[in-house]
Formats: sequence, C-alpha cells, structure tokens
Amino acid sequence: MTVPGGQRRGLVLLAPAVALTTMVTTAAVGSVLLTSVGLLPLFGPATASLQGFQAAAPDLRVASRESLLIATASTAVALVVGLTTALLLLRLAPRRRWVGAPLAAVLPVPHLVGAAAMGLLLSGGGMLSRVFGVEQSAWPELVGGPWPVAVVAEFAWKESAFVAVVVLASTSAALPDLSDAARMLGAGARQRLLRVTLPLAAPAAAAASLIVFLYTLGSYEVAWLLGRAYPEPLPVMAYRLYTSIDLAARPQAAATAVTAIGLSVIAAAATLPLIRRLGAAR
Amino acid sequence: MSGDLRLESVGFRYPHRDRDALDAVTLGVAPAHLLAVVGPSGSGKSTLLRVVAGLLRPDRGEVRLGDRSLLEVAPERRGISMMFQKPLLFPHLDVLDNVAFADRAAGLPRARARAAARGYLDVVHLADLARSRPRELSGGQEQRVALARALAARPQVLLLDEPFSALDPELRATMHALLDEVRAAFAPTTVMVTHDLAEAAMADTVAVLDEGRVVQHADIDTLYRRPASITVARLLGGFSELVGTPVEGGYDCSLGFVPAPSPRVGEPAVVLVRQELAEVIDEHDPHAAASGLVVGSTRAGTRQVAKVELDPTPHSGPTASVLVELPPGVPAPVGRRVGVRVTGTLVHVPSLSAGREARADVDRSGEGAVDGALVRDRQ
Amino acid sequence: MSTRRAALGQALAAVPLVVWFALPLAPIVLWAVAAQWAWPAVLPQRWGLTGWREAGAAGLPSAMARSTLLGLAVACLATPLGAMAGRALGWRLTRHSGAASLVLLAPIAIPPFAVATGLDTLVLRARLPGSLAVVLVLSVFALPYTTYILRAAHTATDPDLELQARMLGAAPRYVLRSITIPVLRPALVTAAAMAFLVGWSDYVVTLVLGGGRLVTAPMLLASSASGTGNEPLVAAISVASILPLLAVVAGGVLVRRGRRAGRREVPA
Repeated sequence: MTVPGGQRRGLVLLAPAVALTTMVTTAAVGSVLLTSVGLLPLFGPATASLQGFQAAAPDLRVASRESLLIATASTAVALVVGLTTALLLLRLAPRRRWVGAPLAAVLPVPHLVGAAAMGLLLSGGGMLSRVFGVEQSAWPELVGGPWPVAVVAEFAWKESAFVAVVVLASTSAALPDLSDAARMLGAGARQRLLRVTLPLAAPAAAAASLIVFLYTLGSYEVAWLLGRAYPEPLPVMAYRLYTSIDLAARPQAAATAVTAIGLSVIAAAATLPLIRRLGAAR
Repeated sequence: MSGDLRLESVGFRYPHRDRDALDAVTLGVAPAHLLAVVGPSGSGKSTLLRVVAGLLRPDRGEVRLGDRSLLEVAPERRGISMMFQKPLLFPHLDVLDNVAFADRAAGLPRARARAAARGYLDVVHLADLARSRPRELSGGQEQRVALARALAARPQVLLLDEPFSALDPELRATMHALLDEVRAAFAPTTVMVTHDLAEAAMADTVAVLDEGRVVQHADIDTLYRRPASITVARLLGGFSELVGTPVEGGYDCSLGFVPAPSPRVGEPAVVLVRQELAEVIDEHDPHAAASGLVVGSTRAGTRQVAKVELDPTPHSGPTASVLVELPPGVPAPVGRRVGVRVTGTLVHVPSLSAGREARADVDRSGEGAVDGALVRDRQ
Repeated sequence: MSTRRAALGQALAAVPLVVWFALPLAPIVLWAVAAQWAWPAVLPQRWGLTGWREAGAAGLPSAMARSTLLGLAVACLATPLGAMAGRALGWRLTRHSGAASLVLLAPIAIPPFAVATGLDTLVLRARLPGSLAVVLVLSVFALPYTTYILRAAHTATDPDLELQARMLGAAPRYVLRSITIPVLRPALVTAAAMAFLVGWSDYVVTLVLGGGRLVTAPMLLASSASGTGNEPLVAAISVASILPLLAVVAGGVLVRRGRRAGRREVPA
C-alpha cells in the first residue's frame, strides 16, 4: 500500500544518493567524452576532432583485445571455481563449514595486495617455482609474460570468492526445502543438482559474473603490477597516456577511457536482459 | 483511561483517486464504550481508524477527544494507541521490553518501565514469557503481547484494526474473552474494525460503513431487526431478498401480499425476510404464505438453514428463494415440497434521490410501523 | 554406504579449493616474517621482522592511519545515503524505483580510472581538495553496494513496525533510535564494512585525484612492489593491509556465535 505522502518521502530519501552519483558520473563521463573529441583541451581553442581516437587507434585495438581477454578469462575461471565452491559448501555438513574460512579470508584482501601476493607466488624465483624446484630461467613467464597469466590468476582468485559468497547468500535459504521437495519427487543427487540447485543459483551467478567482468575490464592496478608493457589493457594504456609529458596525449587518454566505458556499457546492456530473464524464470 | 471520542463530518480522499474514502462521517464513542466498525472491503474502515490515529489527515471535518480537537496533534501525542492485524512485535526486544515500550518512549527509566509492564503482561496471562523473544512465540501469544503493549500505553482511546482476524476460531474466542476481561479492568474507549460479526456483537454499538459513509450506527440487535439498507442486511447475512411489486396498500411478492403505508407506484421494492422469522410447514396448510421446493441446506451451528425455491406468482417475476432456519436437530427436507410461513418482514424502497432508502417495518400482527428516515447515530 | 562415499568425495573436493584460496596468501605471510629467504629454499632461512622495520621507516603507520580515515569517510558518506535510498527502494515508496536503481547501479559499469582521469582537471579547476574528491568518488563507487544491502534489508523489514511504535507514543526521533536503527543494524554494519573496504583498498582514484600527497597503504604498497628485492617490505605492508579487516571479520563471526550460544541458555 503506498502511504499517502510516501511518494514525496521516497523522492526525498533517494535524492542525496542519486544527486551525488549523477553529478560525479556525468561530470566524469562528460569530461572524458569532450576531451576525447578535443572539446575540452588543457589550453588553446576547443576544436572538435577525432584526432584522439585516430592517433590511438592501432593501440586501442590491441588494448581492447587484451582487456577483453583478461576480463573473459577471469570471469570464466571465477565463475567455475566460485560456483563449485558454493555448491560444495551448500552440501557440507555444518561440522565441516570451517572449510569456508579461507573464503572469508580472501574477501577483504585488496586487489593490489592480491597482485603483490600473486607476484610473490608466481614469478620466477617465487614461492611456486621453489616448491617445484624449477630454475628461474626454466620457469614460465607467468608474471609480465606474453600472456596475462598472473593477472587472470589474481582476478580469478579474488573474484571466485566473491562469486561463491554471492551464490551462497542467495541460495542457502531456499535450497533445503526445494531439495527435499525434489527428493520426495524421486530426483537423485545429480538430477537435484541440475534441475534444482543450478537453476536456483543461476540468477545470482549471472549477476556476480557480470560484476566481475565489468570490474576486471576496468581495473588498473593488477594489470599494472603483474602485466607487461605490451600488450597493455585499456586502463594501463589510458593512465600511461594521461601522465605522459606530451600533453597532446590527453585526447588519446580520454579516447581510451571512452573505449573502456563503451565496452563496459555494451557488456552490461547485453547481459542485463539475460539476468532478468533468469531471475524471472524462478 | 477513557476518552470521549467524536468524529464530525470527516471527509478524506486518497490522492489520485476519484472517490472519497470517507464522506461526511459523524460518529461518537462514549467513554469506556466499545464501537465496532464493520462494512464490506473498501468501505473505509481502516481509513477511519487511521484518521482517528492521526496517520491520515482528513480533508474535511473534525476529530475530537473530550473537548480538544486532535487535528493538529501528532499521532504519538494523541493519547491513542493502536493494535494492527499483525502483532508487529519489535524483534530486537524481549517481550517485557516490548510491553514497556510506551513507558520508555515517555522517558521512564528501563527498570520502572519493565516493572509496570509486568502488570500488563499478567493481565494477558503471559507473565512467564517476559524474557522470551518475539520469534519464540506462537501467533496467539504474539497478539496477546501486542494487546498488553497497547494497554500499557494507558491510552484514552484504543484502536483495534482486525486484530484477531489472522487467528484460528478457538484462539479468536480466547481473545474475545480476554478483551472482555480487559474492558472490565481498564474500561478503555475502544474502536474495533472487524469482519467477524460475533466480534461485532461484543460491542456496545456497531457502525456500518459503505463506500465511505456511515449507513447505520446502532446496537447489534437493532441492526438485525431494522437494517437501514440492503448493504447492511447483506453484511449481516441471514436475510432473504424478494422482489416486491407495488400494489394498492402494499407490495406483492413471492410470499404474498405485504401491507405498507405508501407504496410508490412504479417503484419495485425489496422485501427482506429474516431466516429466523420464516418457518417450514405443510404445503397445504392454510397458514402458508407460499409454497415451494426445498433445494438445499446449509449449517448454522446445531441448526440447518433450508433454501426453499418458491413457486412463481404473477407478481414475483423470475425465481425467488427464501432461507428458512429450522429448529435445532430438525433435518432439512431437501427435495420435498413445503409451505412457508413468515412472522415478520421488512420492506425497503430505493428512493429516487441518491440511493437513500426508506423503510417500512411491517408486523404480521397488523401493527405496521413506518419510519421513512435513515437511522442516524445516537447523539 | 553411498553417503560415506559422498562424504569422502566432498572431502577430496574440498582440499584443492582450500588450497586455491589459501595458497596465494602463503608467500606474503612467510615473507612478512622472513629475514632471509633466498632461492631455492622453500621456507625462509632466517626468521625476523626486517620487513616491518623497513615498513615503519617507509611510513606504514601514517599510511595506515590515512587509509583508515579514508575508509571511515567513505563509510560515513556511503552508508547513510545508501540506507536512505535502500529504504525508498526496498519499501517501494516511489514509482521511480526502476530509474533510481539504474542510476545508483550505473557506477559498476564505469571504470574507476575513467572517472578519476575525467574529473582530475575539473577538480583542480574547482580548487577542491584532492582528499575530498577521492572521498566523493569512492562513495559513488560504494553506493551500489550499500544501497543493495540496505534495500534487501528493508524488503525483509515490515514498515508498519515504525508505525506501531508511533502508535505507542514514540516521537519520530525516538522511533529512529529505538526501532529503525536497531532493527537494521546488521545490514548497516555490513554495508559500512563494504564501503570501508572500498575506501581502504582503492588505488587508482587515490593515485589520480589524491595529488600524490594522499599516501595511503595501497600507495605505499604500489611504490614498494614495483621495485625489486623488496619482498619483506611488500609482505609487511600487505599483511598490515589485511590484518585489521580479518580481525573485524573474525570478531564479527565470534560475536555472532557467542550471541547465538547465549540465547540458547535463556530458559523458555
């Protein structure tokens, strides 16, 4: 029942959050857009041009590919590991719930710390190479190598914990009853997994995956610390251009940012209907 | 703890609606009295309570407690406490702290408030649950705590919004008994919205709302004997409705001729028959007003109520049926033809102006009495 | 019999998962207490607190203090704003829930580096203090989480509870103190913790908008980690960045377990 006067109260309550978000995002996105087309130069007249995009174009293509590669690989691994972890924890007897403790330990770790940890683990001379007794020269270039292995590993590691927690939170309440009902209808363990548990977990898993994809697409510090100079993903390229001594690189930096925003928005817009449909199917 | 509550011509409309939720509502509740408010869904019962509570501000009219107007007074300062359909116990407080809430809100120290609360918890016979949490209680226990909590606010007026409708019948009966005890002990002025006519029968007076207007305000017996409109009759249940064609000196219906003082030519009326005032006799009995076929029956406690489909008469129009309450233990002769005898009827005439109804009260004993005006609240 | 096999299967499956989550933390924990750990040793050759001494010299305590303040500032801004928005959305107080939700969730689709570089010159021209800009931007990135958490909490809470409180004589401010906040407390704490984490962990926004003067723990970590041979220092800063948060999480779990045990002892 809508409380009379509730409409206005609702708008008043929403106003501060909406105002702050709108101001910050429109100012930022607007500034980036205008800079990329030369309409917000640091000095000199504002002249519309696609110089920024054109100059950056070849690198933009490579960087976009790298970003998408990192995001896709990280999301895929995080989803698989996170979902598996959640499913395992859901089936564990309460006695063994301590298995979830490492999960809780990973969640509050900042990504930069995770990147540092991965560096110490995966680099030549790092802990893993010592455990396997492989010499530095023989150890594959996981950190700063041609493929962004360490970068993807860090994202997959941290975000698998995130996916697991999100899926657990959304399914643990309803699962016991639904599972019992399915059992009473003659469904075996595998059927329950496929027809009850997974569909129940699907909306949360999909939403979490989208969040992971968008985050890894736009993250700066992990690729900066664990990646190599070329190919670089979009955020690293943008920052490099932004802090370049050549001030003409500003529009290119902005163009890179616009590309990253564009890719994120497209990914979000493409995935949201699917998520909504999954949620509605329940 | 008893206030004198009055509503004067209260009007209210929810925003973006095209009809008033309350229209010219005038009601009075004397100190320590219990007023039951009944009516079909959407009639404005809950709106009425919320206006009295101060949760809604009326567009027109006046709400008074004693001699002061409540219109500008915030809900928490009116001396009015309200109990809702859901118990709404505060989940983070134990039972005793729940009951003590009003005192704490008034600034009393916790220990004193809890001590006073124990007394109210005793009244509802739940003293041993003082330290329990709301989630550990059953539905009936929750409502009892809610009642104790509302009383502990020591209100001048107690508002109850269908507080027992979610309980099963046995529990409801327990709560009715409890309410009687509470009224005997504290005598609060109470307004209770209810769907349950047994609950309404507990009240001193009953107000019937329909489409935002008070259609009748009287004690329950008067309501049954002289419902002011068809809506009231339908709400109470147990009335049969027959079409009455105006003829010289009265109306003709399937049960024969009903004398009435001023039948309006050309205006059909509705003849209402109480099921207790009809009886089933032999088909060929000369006292039978009409005869027909028993087509079905329903139960009302130990009695059966037979539905008799009456034989068509020239003035009755399409099939008419009448409900007849049988004596206790007598089974309904379903499928048999019977005669029907009636000891009292009411005639309602829809008037030309805006749905108001005149009544013709007719006694078979010939004493007919006519009252053409709507019964207003007893002021 | 099959349950025994299932239990064994679960135990076997659990091991790699525990390793997956715990393993990356091992090197920083070990390096944080290592005075010497040369290749190819699997465990440190000499234990010691070299890293912590270096971290102290590099300014870790003040960096952590700044990180804490930043986290608190973001929590103090994003939690009440998210709570109000969550109330309006969770209780469906307005017809514009859909549009508002979209706006409040939008920052998830905008990379922080883009926002930071986009706002940088504007902030400078407006002469806004860098730290203020950082707090505002990070709050916007924390809002989707705080709003979501509090919207869920409000959906699970009956709005009539507050109505009932007023109908027992409680003034609006007392209702806030005695009903609203206590009932929502778990969600408020979780939301504040998430917002704090956003502020505590951030790197790129602090880097760009902080003007280089806002040296938080991540900034310190970045400058150490990008060099070579700094393993103990990097490890010490890393552990320092995780320990407080872990303590809070562990404390929260213990408190909840203690409360649950305490409740069982109350006689029915």
